[in-house]
Amino acid sequence: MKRVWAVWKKELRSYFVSPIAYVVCTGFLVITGYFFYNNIIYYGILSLQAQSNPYMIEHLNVTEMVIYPIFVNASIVFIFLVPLLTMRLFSEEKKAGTIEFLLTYPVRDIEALLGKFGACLSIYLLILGLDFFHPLIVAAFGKPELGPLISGYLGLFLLGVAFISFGIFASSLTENQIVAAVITFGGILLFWGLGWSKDLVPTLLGDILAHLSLLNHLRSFAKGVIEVKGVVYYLSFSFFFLFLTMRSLESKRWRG
Amino acid sequence: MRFKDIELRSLFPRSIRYGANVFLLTIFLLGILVIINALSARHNIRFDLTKTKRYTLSPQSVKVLQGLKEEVKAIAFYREGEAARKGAEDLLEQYAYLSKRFKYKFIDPDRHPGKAKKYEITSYGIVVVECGGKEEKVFDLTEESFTNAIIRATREGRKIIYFLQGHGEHALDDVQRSGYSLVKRTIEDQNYKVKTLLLLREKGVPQDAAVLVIGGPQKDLLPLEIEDIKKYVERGGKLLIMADPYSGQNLRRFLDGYGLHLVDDVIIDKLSRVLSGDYLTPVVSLYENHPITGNFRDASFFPVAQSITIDREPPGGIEVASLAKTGPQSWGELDRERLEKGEATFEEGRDKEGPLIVAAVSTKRVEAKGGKGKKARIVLFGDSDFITNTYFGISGNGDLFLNAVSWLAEEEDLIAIRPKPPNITPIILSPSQVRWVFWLAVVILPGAVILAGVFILARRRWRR
Repeated sequence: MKRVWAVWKKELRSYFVSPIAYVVCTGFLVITGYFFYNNIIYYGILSLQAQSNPYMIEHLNVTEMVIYPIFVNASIVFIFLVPLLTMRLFSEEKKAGTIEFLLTYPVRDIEALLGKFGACLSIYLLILGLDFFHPLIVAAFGKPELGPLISGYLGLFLLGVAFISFGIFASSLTENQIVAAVITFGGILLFWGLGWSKDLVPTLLGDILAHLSLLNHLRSFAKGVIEVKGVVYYLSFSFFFLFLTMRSLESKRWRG
Repeated sequence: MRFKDIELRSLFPRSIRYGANVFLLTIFLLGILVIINALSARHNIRFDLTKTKRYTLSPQSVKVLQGLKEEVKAIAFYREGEAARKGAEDLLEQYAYLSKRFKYKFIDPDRHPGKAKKYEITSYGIVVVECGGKEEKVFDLTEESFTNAIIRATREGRKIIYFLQGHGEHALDDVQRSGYSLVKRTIEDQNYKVKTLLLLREKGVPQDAAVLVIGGPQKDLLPLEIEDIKKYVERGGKLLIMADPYSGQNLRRFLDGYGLHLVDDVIIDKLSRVLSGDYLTPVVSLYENHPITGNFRDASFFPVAQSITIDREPPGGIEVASLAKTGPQSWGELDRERLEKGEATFEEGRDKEGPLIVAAVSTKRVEAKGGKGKKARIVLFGDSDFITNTYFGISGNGDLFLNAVSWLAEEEDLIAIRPKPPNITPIILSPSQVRWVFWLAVVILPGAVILAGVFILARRRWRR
């Protein structure tokens, strides 16, 4: 545990001394901030129009129309940015040769993995924390519901765990950071959109695809419903790719 | 995992043995995860954290879903990417969550015209509920309408609608102009059974009658028959009467007892000349707010109709209401002779001035056996020709009639679900607030991160 902590500290430090984390974080905030700005302005205009339209005013719910898009937009931006956070985790060391150091004594594979995973997740949580600024702005003007905020951030957290697990796996496969980033991006984008073809294929296959889609589950969380099947899927997705990462790290030993 | 099989060790090189080992292990893990996910999807648990519980069905719907004995399928016809589709999916998903016997799917009617034709889909946003060969369509998807469609589709047997015969009523098997064959076919399409009834041959109105329809008797009903019908109504029966001008005294007296009065005039509508070519076919486009006519927009046409008056203060336990009225430029011509000569004009003080009621409803609370309060209902139209084969398809005529029939037949089984109270939370922003939001969200917050980064990185470099 002590060694996990050591790896975690070292990795987190290297995030802060390289520009990547700042660029990713700023990029995230500019993009989601701009979307959020547009959304809340649009909602303000709708609120004005609804004053004279009794049918429209019944559908005027800030949680559904401003808070919900915050989560969905954030998740889409993460598809592009998480690969940049995860790409260097193992690739870099592989290239620099320090992986040999990692593979020999003091730190075991699992400890290195958990430490790196924890460090990346910490950065992710930091970004989520900054993203919380947007609901705070909403709360300054209106009354968003608390429940959907909780479930939405829980969903984004689980989604991040899944994204990072996949990214770490990709970075353990190659010593080229760009290749690792492209694999991560392609992989999570594919899993993201699996549910789109739901209605074009037979029902059972469609249900399976919808379940495998990372987006479908996030929608429930974002609208304020925690579904056990979503939690289970995100966790099994993450566990599976962390398991594969372990095997990938091990393979260095027996492949020679 | 260490591979320990000694015999294999000598056969294969180390890397292949480890590779196979990892492969098997991965497949094994994948198998376990698939099982866990399949179980969690089948036995999903939802927690609705919204304030108004808008993603949770009402107890009434839950009860209906738990009582399902057969598989119920819903097919929702929405265009791909249509705005209303997401809401529909949110709703149907909750039904599927509550019952394993409920399945739904979405079909784009543009991409599957064959399916759309099979279910006679004429517009987007229609949901068809299917159960054991029965079909119910939902046009305006809400929890209430959808749960009621499930109730209707899963009901055992079919409700029976009786049509009174023996007084020159429109015949159900008559395919000519004045027949009711279209009426019969359409009612049967709505999952009802249609039967004729000769009261003189029966001992009263049968117990299994959901609705008794009296469609334009040419001769008066006999006092004995009126007696039977009265007994039927008093035990909570549902009656639909369509009476043409100059109908019989017995029928009129019977209706008087329920607060509804046939005026015995003929409605003349100058405006309808423009629309249908005949003064004697009033146009009705003023509908009251009642379950039968609440969402009704189409005009309807009543060829040779009489007007109805309703009691302001009806006898005890009875409530009356009008359903539909003609326009203000119409009047009820009372002078039969001049009308037949074709020279009817509006005589102030003598003729009845419009708007005139052409359809009305009377409700009476009666004590049924077992102490359960039931409601007897009578819907009265001042005309019987508006749903003959000639007029059934014109504008809203057929729908108005079908609405009345299904309201009479269904009223007591269907449930009312109040829509969730809307959680209205508007935000009004002043121009300066808009600017502030922009600066905060797009400039200041990201800018602070960039500044922190520059500061930390620069300090590091400087220290070196």
